[in-house]
Amino acid sequence: MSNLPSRTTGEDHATNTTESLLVERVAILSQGDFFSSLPMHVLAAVVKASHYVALGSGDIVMSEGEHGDCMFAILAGSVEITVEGKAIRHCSSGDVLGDLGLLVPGLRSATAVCAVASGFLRIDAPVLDELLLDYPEIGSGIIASLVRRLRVAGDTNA
Amino acid sequence: MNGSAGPGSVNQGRRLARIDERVLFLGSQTFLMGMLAGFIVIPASGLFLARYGSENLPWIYGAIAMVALAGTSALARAVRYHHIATIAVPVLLGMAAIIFFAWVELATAGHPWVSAPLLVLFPISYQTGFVLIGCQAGLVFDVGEMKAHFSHVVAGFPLGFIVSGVVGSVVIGSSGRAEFLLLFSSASTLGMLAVIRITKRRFNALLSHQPSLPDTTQPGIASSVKALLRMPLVAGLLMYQLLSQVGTQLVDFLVYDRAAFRYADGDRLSHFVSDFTSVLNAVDLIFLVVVAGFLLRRFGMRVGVVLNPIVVSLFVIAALLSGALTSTASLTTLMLICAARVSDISLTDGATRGSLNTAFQAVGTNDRMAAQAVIEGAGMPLAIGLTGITILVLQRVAHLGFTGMALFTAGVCVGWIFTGQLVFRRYRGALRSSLSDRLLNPGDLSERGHSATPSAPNGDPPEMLETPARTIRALRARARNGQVSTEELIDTTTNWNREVGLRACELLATHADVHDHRLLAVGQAMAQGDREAASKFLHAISLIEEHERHAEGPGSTQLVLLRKSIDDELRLLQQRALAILALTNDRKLVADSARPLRWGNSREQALALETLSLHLPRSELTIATPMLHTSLSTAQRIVQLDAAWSSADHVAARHPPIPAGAPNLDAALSDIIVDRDRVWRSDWLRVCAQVVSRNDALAEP
Repeated sequence: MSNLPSRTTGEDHATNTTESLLVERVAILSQGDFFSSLPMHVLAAVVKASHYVALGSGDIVMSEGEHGDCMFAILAGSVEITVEGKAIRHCSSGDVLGDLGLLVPGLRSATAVCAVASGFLRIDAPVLDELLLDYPEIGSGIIASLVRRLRVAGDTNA
Repeated sequence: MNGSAGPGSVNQGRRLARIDERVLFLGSQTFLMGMLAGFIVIPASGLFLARYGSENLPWIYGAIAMVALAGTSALARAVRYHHIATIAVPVLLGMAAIIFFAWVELATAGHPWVSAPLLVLFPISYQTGFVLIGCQAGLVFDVGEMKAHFSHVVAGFPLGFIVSGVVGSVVIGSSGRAEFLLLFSSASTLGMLAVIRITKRRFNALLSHQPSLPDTTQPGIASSVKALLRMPLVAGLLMYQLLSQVGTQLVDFLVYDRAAFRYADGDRLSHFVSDFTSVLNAVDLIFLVVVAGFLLRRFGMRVGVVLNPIVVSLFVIAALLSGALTSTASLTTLMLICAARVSDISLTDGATRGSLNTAFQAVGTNDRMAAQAVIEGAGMPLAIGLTGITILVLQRVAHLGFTGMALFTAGVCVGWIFTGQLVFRRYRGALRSSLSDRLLNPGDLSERGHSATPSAPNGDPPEMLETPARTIRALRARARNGQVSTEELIDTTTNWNREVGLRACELLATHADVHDHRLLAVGQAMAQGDREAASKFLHAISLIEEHERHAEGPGSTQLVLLRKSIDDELRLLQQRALAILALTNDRKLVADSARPLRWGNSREQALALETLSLHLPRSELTIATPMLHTSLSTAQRIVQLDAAWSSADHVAARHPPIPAGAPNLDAALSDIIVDRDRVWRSDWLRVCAQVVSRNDALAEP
């Protein structure tokens, strides 16, 4: 890549790292069902408007019965979802947690615990509200995500 | 392939790669069908004419009509319940058995009556074959591919006929027994069945349309032949097919009438028939391979359905004039009638068949194959029966000679032309209805989404995302309240942010008068900018696709993301192309076509483009098509983009040529980052390109 504009200063190194992280996170989000219908530059805006959260193995991401004002997108690691102490599914990078609490106001219906050290994007309710308002096509991604979850739940019950 | 071109794009890629294979497999079927028919008609016609004479041919015509009508009704019912490949088994096995037993009868007992059922079977065999092949073509080709490739499929038929003629000469010359050819015919029938089964396995995904039981309670599904014929397009197509076949039979009769008149000697007549048949098939083959596809692609259905009767009627009228000025027995008259026959066969195979198959695409999926079976299966035998009766009446009751018969033929051609126009209008209407009958309109859905979603308490939710959504929302709200002038919207179409410009254009198409002369200039300015952007985007995607084939690891993930991001921009250009078309054209039609174009598969996109091509100015649609037809591969879109602007002379003359794409990925990335020409206009793309360019894993392929 010799003929590309070069950036060599220390400040630019930080910029480069930020940009690489942004691209990496957008790539992960784009692979999940939930955000699959959004244009990449909108996903980049979502990543920028969100907060990175790092948790260790066994840490609780969210608890059943608590009020939910945000959702989490898993960037790395693995999370176990339990309802009343019973494990119902595992989630990994690209999956989202806590979205139901934002879509249907109420208390969290499940507990999410990190199976290993994991990284998340915390997406606050106003960001999702704005996405729903301006990019209604996200609905198809949400439906796909819910259907997949229902299937997993159905398989588990069977 | 443009892997993210839309839903189903992976399969679309495979579709495009298999075009030649599909032509090969379907063409093999028509080739074997040509041999099947050719090997029947050579022994059967000779034997029948020698034993029973041509005066008994009308009985054969009547039998053909009755048998084919019964067969067609059964076939139309069968295609509703079974796959074509399944139906082909009893149909073709039955034919092969009949032909084989005819050979046994002729070889052992030598009974000449066998020639009569064989002559009845002859037209039914290839017409049934065309139903089977046409139904398969309707499933494996979309409407654009049908126009481009169906004539190549049909080319197998005259080729098979030519081969059967050559083989027939050799076999008869060496053995002196024409009935041997029936064994070849029987073998060709079995061969055709085998190829149909192989085609089914090879293109199972495309041919897997599952026929369903007719549900009479469901509107839009015709349950019987009568119900099918109540559909205006189907009725028009049947009338067209009928007149087309009557015209063909009459011209055929005129050729043999003049030839018999001129060449009274049997040997000279046979020589003429042999030479003429060779020329006929050779011209037909060349026309099908070289001209027909281009003809339908370039001029479409409108010309495809009327060209044949126009050319035939011109030659028939010229023959009439020649007969009046010289003699009805002159060589010129005979040559002109022969020219009518040659052009009729070439245009029937090259334009009429393709046009009819294209027209069936406008019939609902559930009724399409049944309609095709009825029209193609019944039209020809009905016409043969009708022609037989007509010739008998005109010759024996009205005592018409060549001039009277030729005048009658010209009259049929005029009716054929008008029916062609009628079919075209109904086809156009049916396509348009198929678009406007959609339950959901994306524009409506989008507007509903905006109005139904509750806003924040202060009516203006806090802006969390760095997108142009807030600007667009404000613009829309002001436009709804009548607070935005046309001038402001026109200015906003040139907004730096491409999406804001798009939404301004959409608002213009909603609020501004369609006759406002400024809109044309706005559309042309936007289209000019967009073609440069599209060219750069497509070339960059092409380079990325080339790298993706070789790259693996983290670099490839980033490349995929960059490609997807550029593809998002191309989708935006697709919406802009639709908005530009809506500025000065039928806005409802453009809005109706938006759904299949934006979210449809390859077939739906092609059908929507076909509908637009029938209603919109060619120059505008040609420029928009590379932006709209996203199911094409990147390479195809680049070619189309270049061709579109060079063909639109009046536009190209005012604008510079499209700048060449970057020579390699390095240059393309550099172009995105620097954006010297201010074409990319995206911080996100710049970030992606920078990350990709820094990645050491990216190596030259």
